[in-house]
Amino acid sequence: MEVESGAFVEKARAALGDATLQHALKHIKHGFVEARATAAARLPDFEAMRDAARDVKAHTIAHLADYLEQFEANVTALGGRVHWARDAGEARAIVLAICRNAGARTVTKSKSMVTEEIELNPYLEEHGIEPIETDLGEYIIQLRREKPSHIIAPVIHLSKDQVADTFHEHHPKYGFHERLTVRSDMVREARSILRQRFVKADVGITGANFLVAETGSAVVVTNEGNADLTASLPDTHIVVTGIEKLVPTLEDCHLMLRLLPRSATGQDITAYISFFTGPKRAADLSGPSSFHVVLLDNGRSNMMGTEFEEMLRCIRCGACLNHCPVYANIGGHAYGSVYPGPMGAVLTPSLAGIDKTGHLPNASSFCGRCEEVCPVRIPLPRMMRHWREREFERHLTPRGARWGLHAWALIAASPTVYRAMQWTASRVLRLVAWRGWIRRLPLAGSAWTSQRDMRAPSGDSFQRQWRKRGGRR
Amino acid sequence: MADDSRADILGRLRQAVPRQSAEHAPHRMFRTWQAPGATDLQGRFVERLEAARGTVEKVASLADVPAAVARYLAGQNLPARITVAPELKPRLDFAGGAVTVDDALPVEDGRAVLTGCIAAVAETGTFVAASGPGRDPRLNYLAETLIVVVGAGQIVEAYEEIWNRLRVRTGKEAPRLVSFITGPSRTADIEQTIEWGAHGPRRLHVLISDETPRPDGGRRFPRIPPGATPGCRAPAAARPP
Repeated sequence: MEVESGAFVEKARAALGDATLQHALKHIKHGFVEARATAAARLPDFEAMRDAARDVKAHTIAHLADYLEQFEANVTALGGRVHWARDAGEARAIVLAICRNAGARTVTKSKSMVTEEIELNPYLEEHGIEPIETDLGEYIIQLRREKPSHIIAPVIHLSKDQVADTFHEHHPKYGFHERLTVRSDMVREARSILRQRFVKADVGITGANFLVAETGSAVVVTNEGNADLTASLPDTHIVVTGIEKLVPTLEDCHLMLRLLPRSATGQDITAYISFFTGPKRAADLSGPSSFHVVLLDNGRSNMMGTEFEEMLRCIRCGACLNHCPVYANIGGHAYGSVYPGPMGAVLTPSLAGIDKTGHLPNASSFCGRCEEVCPVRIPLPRMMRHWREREFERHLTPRGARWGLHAWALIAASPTVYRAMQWTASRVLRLVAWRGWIRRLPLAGSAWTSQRDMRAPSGDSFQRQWRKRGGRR
Repeated sequence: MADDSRADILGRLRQAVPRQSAEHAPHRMFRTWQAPGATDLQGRFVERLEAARGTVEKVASLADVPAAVARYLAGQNLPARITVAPELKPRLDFAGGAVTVDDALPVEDGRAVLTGCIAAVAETGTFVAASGPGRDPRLNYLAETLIVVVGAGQIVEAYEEIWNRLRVRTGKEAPRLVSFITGPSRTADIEQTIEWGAHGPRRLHVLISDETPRPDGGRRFPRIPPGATPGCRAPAAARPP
């Protein structure tokens, strides 16, 4: 998986100065944050359901090998095939082999973050197979040769005008020459073009939001219905997904399905939730005759038994992105990984290695909102802290920051030194302040004051006030 | 290579000592709407469907469906042509009516489809389509206008009941496709603003019929009592020793 997190600081700075992006990101609050709060409030047992979902996933992960075998046995019994891929390269080769076997020239795809993770599209193109993204957002970024900037809203970084330009540039070859500016017209035009692609595709590739062990079903959630057309029209259906998507039973799956859309978009349910189980049966009137599931590891099994194991519970709802003050200000591309935001800051180093993903665990203010809204209660801030520790242990932290941390450790470990330093610092800061504000600080402090003013310390320190009150509230 | 990968992945998973290992708790039915134990399933179904931008009309029997279809198409200024799903065709008589029945698969823009369902769910105003003998679920996704006949007796309280209805757990396999569909197709990809008819239906109209269009009649499915564990079991290998 390609990661460009090294340039996080520069990209974040550029994102903050990008007026179009800043305008686009404003939609997060109304579109996602408020919608989730309303949906959660409507469910009387929402918090208890989150506990139950956490427990179901924890149980599944602990017994993952057994459930994977059960899933495989059920798929095989119905005439489907399960393929195991240790890494992205194996997964791509498996998909290509199936496509070639089917004599495929074009492949329709419904949105799948795992196929983004393994960079499937460029690989298929190199080998003469045309992949066609059918989720409207994914279709737009495919035309623009970009990566998604959000795991459930791939073009949240774009304005309507940018999309209009993209369609105007790419649609004349289908006979559409007018630059459309009304959203409904744009959607209608894309629908009409993609419908023709659907009908002619040889293979359909979807991801899976869940895999159900007891039936061998792959479950896909969409609002557009594109996964259903992808999986129902061609003669071959390939599901590409991660090994952690298992749930034991159909009931477990419905528990998850009640939480996923509410956490993601604030919908009680998405327009389409489909359970795909094996290939077409003898008496069926339609459906693919060939059904494949590609199970991708790519670093996931290495998370088992580590402090990052709980990340395997993630159901990719995107709530942590939507509620993250860092994400809301810089968008997804600055992270340099297809998994941005808090979940990406934890997952990307696990999949690609902490040496390649510098800055990601630091792209957080540790405000804790991600953990507050996570439907399966993943302790994301704690895990980012674990990554920071590993970075430090492996000397990946920049020298200045390492010295700073060493100095801080010395000061913080001795109450006397700490108090003395604090007393001195607060006196000095009050001297340089003007009307309660500090405009400019030297050295390391300049990083703070170059972006914003700092409040001057006022009154006594917390410790002194605590002592004065005799240790009482 | 393939066998190696399988063995490697399963081996790594088995070797690791899991840090978290909750028991597989019995499935619990949570309250999914504010009035627990609500009995007006049809009322809830209609309310949630309308909230998802579906529209509803009640008809007394299947014999009334062709006229209701004609009225709806005319009301929407749509051509009086419709594709009728194979499972409904033998049960409905469009002869002599205003609407022409189409046979081709509705792949081009603007087509209308009339279809049935295997059940409907009050919880979220959802209808359930499935593959199976005499059914073609593709019609649900290809139509630009979708009219669904739901028997009043087909409405259940919660999703879980669908699987009991299909008797998946009594040794019968799941159909190739079971699809929970709620309202028209939509997208909010451009500036988080909802547009209807992204790929599937732009409009979804449900005809609730007192007569259920299925051979097994309007029989109600067994309700899951609160706290019950409907056949939900972890596999033997996954149960802690």
